[in-house]
Order: sequence, then C-alpha cells, then structure tokens
Amino acid sequence: MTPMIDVVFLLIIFFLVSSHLARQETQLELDLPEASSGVQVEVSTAPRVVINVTEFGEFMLAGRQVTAEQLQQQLYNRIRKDGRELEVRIRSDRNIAFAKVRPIMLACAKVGIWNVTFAVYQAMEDPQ
Amino acid sequence: MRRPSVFHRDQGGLEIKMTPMIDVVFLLLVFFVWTASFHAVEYLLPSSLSQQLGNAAVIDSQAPPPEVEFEDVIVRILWQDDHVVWQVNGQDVLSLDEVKQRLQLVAGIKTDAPVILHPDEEVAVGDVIDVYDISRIAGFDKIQFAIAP
Repeated sequence: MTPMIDVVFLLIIFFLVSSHLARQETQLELDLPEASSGVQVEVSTAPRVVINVTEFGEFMLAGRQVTAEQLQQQLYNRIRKDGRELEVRIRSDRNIAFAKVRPIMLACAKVGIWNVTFAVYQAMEDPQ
Repeated sequence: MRRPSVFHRDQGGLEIKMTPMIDVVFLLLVFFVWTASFHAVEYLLPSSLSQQLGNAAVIDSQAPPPEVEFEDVIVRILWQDDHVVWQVNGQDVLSLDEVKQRLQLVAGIKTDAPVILHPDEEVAVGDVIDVYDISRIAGFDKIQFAIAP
C-alpha cells in the first residue's frame, strides 16, 4: 500500500507542478502599479491583447519585443480580425516614465480601440 | 529460550511505522509549498470608456484646443524638480490627498463630468495610476487621457 500511495502522490505533484509552471510562463514578472479601486480579472474568452512594458521601457507583445510602429500595425491587424471589442491590457512597470506608455495609448486611439485597461496590484490602503 | 525484551520489540515497531509517515509528511510539505502561489494577484483598472464606444479617450492636445467645457475636471500631473506636482483645473495642489479631497468635492456636485488626466512625460506610470485610482474612488465615470502625439 505505502509504495502505491507514494507513487500516486508523486504523480499528483508532478501534474500540479507542471500545470502551475505552464501558467506562470504566460505572465512576465513586472512591478505593477498599485491601486485600490481595481476589479478582479474576469475569466472570459473575449479577444484581448496584453502589452507588457518592462522596466527598461520595452514593449513585449506575445513574448516578443516590438516597436511602437509594429505595435500599431499588430493592433490594426487584430482589430480587423476580432473587431472593435478588442481589449488592450497594459501591464506596465510602475517606475517607468509615462512617456513610454503613451505610444501604446496613442496607437490604440489611432486604430480605434477604446477598451484599454491597466493591470495593477491591489493596494493595501488608499494611495497617499 | 530468551524472551524478546519489551524495549526491542517496541523500538522495531516504531521504526517500521515512522518511515512511511515521514515520506507522506514530506510529500505533503512539498505539495503545499509548490501549490502555494507566490505571485501577487493581479487586478484590473478598467477604462470607464469601455462601455461607451466612440467616446474619445485620447484628446489630442496639439490640435486646436477642444473647447474646454466648464464642467471638465482637468488634472495635470507635472514633473518639477524631480518630484510630482499636481494641478486641478489650473490650481496647484501640494499632495495627492488634497487632489483626492478636491475631486471628491467636485464629484459630490457632478459625477458625470469627465476627468482629464494630463501627465507630463517624465511622470512615472505609478503616479499616473494613483490619480486614476483616486478619480475612480471619488466616483467619476469618465476618466480620459490627454496625449500629445
């Protein structure tokens, strides 16, 4: 009995760990801004583009570094495919200058995306 | 014939039961350590414009200045001498707390007035989000960004 339990446990752990790692890979680790009025991320199948802005001001789209022009082109392609309901989620480091995030918002506005959201961490208390 | 001592028999029994227990405890420990998520949970700050398609989110400040309506609340986030300074409708505000008080005051009168955030280029994203956040807390529905191309 004992070896069987051992093996079963090991299998359970193996599958849990592998799924856990697979989920972590999708998110680049960033020092997001804090806000206390954030809402929980809804699990939905609505079309969504996540743009990561690293602490060096680089844009990461689907794991690849892109320039502002490429970003606009790709957003335009996505909007032709998915329509204007496309959600753009900006995951940006909190310490970089706003000038780095501005081109993203400008690109969204130019291609006609209004659904832009910011990823934040929940603040413990009101910002002071 | 020697009778087995009570001590030896007990020790043997204890050893046999101990090892699988340690195995299982170790496995449980590893299991909980791995499943515990060390990632902070992420939340979203939705742009309130998402429900109102066609409502301009970005105001081109290089273009002829849009007629600033009397009700608009314009919050400028300026970068002066390496720190952040706020201006609400042209008046200097010294702390984020005061910005919050002023926004709450305006929100008390009229919440459907749009808040226009106009951050300087050098201002950190975190500081912009702070103002965005307090505007949302104050109860404003429309928060827009002014962006010079």
